[in-house]
Amino acid sequence: MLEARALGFAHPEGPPLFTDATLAIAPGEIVGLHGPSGIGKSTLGRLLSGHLAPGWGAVLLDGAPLRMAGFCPVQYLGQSPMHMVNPRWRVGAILSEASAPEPKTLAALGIAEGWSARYPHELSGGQLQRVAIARALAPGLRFLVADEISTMLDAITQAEIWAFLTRLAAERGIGILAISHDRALLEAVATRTLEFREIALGP
Amino acid sequence: MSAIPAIAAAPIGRRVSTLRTAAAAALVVLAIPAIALLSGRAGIAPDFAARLLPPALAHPFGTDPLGRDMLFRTIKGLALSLQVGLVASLLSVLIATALALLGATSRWADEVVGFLVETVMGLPHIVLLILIAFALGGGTGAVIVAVAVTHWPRLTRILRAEILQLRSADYVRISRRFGKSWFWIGRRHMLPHLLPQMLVGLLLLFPHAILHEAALSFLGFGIEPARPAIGILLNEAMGYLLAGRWWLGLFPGLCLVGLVLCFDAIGNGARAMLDPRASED
Repeated sequence: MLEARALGFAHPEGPPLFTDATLAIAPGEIVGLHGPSGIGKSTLGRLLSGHLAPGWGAVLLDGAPLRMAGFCPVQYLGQSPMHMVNPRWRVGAILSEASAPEPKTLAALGIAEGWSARYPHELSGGQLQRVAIARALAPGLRFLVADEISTMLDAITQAEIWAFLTRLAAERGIGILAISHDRALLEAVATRTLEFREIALGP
Repeated sequence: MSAIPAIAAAPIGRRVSTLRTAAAAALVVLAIPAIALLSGRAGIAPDFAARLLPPALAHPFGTDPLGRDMLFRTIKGLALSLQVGLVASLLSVLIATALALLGATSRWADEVVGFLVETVMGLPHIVLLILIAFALGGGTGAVIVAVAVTHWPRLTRILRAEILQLRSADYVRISRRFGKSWFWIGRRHMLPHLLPQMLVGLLLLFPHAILHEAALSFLGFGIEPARPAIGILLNEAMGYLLAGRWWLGLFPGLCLVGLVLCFDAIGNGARAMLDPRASED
């Protein structure tokens, strides 16, 4: 179980973005998080995956604070895959940064062998997003924060990626937090959808 | 019938012309040590039959009071400047990199490094150079150390800014959550971004190092008077300028300026080549 307990965050010398975000995700569950742009959804996602340190409250994994050493069981996937990979690395190196990717995973995501020698700017956004997903699927993974991962992609790629993630949740019991401002998408993929305003900003 | 205006040749891109200039400048720089090595004792062995000759075909830069050819003395001086400049600049880049990395380790270390940068930048360069060279007893080694320990602050600032930006990059954050150590991330993620900056920094440090080496030698705190350094040549020329021996100072001085301009051109070329944003110019 991945939990956010009364999480709050403020940028240095800025007003708090939110002060009381509370949610829980069970293994194998796809939870949607909906809200308008700029409200703090991404920040909440980054807090949950340890990319940012919370100002208040705590992130709990099975009741214990999220460990900051070693491979983090909660991984973050962002909207722009170009920023998620080092532009000076080849795709092969990117894919095996956390652990050697399983051939089965690569095949399921449609990642071709020939991409390994290419640089990120030689792939399309959709291809690169699939690379970023494959990279995160290391053995220790238990939860994924998918922050607007399909916003920049065409409808077919979007459908393929979400079909893969839905299978991942069902087969491996990976819990997924799907963050989006697109209600229709969340209703299609998520088992339940939370409203950011309600879980983070209080009544 | 009115003449049809000639169609202008397609203008050469700024980037291409920058790269051409840089290549030409690099050739000049590489030729200097080659000529200095191949010319043997020319410009070092005295010839008392040819003292203080003005520039002529046999001696394009004239000769000095001991009858030594000034052209070869100048080239040997420039080669020595290049040697000193290379070692001093390399040391400076190493210091800058080490301090920038150190500053990235903690807030406290960052403030100490920032304080050091501002202190050295705030002090007048030449005074610091003279003090250090003097304290070390002069000579080539002292010049190298003095130039190296006074020229790192600007590059330290550039590298520090680059490291700060890299540290908050998404792929670095992801790497951290993959459990990679800062050492691993520094080597694999950051170094490939820092190396081009270090290379350009090295090239742009060179002219400073060369000019300051010449200044120190000119003032008598630098390279041993027996070696043909540009600063020494200029110092020796001082006594003869009023006597009308203008060639003793003019040519070495002009060549020094020329060498500095060459490095400027090479530095600009390297920046144009390494910065993808400049590729459209």
